[in-house]
Amino acid sequence: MIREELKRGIFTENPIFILVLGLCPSLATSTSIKNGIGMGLAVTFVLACSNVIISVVRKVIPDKVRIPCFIVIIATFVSVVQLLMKAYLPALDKQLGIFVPLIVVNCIILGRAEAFASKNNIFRSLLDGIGIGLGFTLSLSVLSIIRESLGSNKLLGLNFIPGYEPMTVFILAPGGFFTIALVMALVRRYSSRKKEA
Amino acid sequence: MKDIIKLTAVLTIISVAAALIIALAYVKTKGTIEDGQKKAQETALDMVVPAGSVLTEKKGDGSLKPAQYWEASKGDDQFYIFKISSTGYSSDIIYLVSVDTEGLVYGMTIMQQAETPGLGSRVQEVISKEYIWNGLFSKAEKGNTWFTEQFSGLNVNNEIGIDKSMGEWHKLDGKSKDALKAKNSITAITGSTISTRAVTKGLEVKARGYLKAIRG
Repeated sequence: MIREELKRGIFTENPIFILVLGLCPSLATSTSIKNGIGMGLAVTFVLACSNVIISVVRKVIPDKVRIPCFIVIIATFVSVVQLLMKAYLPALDKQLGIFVPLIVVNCIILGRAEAFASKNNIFRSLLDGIGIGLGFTLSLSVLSIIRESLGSNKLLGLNFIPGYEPMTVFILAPGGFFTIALVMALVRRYSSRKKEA
Repeated sequence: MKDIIKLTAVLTIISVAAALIIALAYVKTKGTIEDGQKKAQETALDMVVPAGSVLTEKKGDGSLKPAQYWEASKGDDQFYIFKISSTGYSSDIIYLVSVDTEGLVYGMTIMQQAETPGLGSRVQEVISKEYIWNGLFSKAEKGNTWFTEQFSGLNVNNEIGIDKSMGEWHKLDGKSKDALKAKNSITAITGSTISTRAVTKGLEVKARGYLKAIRG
């Protein structure tokens, strides 16, 4: 069951390429591998924690005010993550800038709270959070490897191919759209083939 | 009526709990965050003055003179260090610059910016010669950035020119660099004239004004 839940988050319900959620932070933070992985892990942490807490309190929270309650819970974890990042990873915090506080309104997290954690038990919610979070991190890594290598001819901040003039457009938002579209098309093609077989 | 009381109670309890958790995290991380910021400032200050300078912090009135600036001296040399914030393309570029009594720039370092990645953000670019093939975890070079390096020796009391015909500074030979310095000019970052201009304007307006106010 653990394997299935994780696999679902990473592949069959991949947040970026299958559910098409959270594209705005994906565009902004997939410009370099460090940023992509940093953002992915921050989202994974918030998602796992908020899923667990929401699952714990799901029977206490009245239906009418569930959204504000979810937002408060998510915002709490985001604030904690931001403080921890400022204290222990100041360089990453500077790079991600506004996108850390914006995790609060990241539709992946609210979406999972509403669609999964508020209907399932604690253990499954935790697994769902970790699975979807890892799926997000993995997708961001793939995007950022493509964008960093083509757009600035670098990988992990080190030079990549000698003498290659980088295509700056891949670092900018339009290049981000192209990359997401290409990878998404490949993923869809692969998954639809699998279904036919 | 009963419904409203219940809804309010649930929301209140959740909010109070959230506030307590954030307060706890804040108290626990406050010291570390402040230490980190102080250390970052000290490193930046050390980067813009000659090694072994004596630094003193000064307070100004905040209008003509900056609210906070530093004086550094080493032997007969005396420098003023200003923290300048200048509006770039998509953010405020905040940098430290040290000038001597005549207005010649000694050193400069960018402390904070959020310009376009790959374009304006190159004000902080360090040209690395390490290739990923030399080993995945070989360290990227740390050192001064070419963009700020080209300012040393320029005079903030004169207009600082921006040259777009010669290409970027890190590709130039010694002769062209001298020619630029003689013209009190820097090279622009390709595709980021606005970010480049923000930095020179900050020097021409703010650093010049501060120096004038302090020297009287």
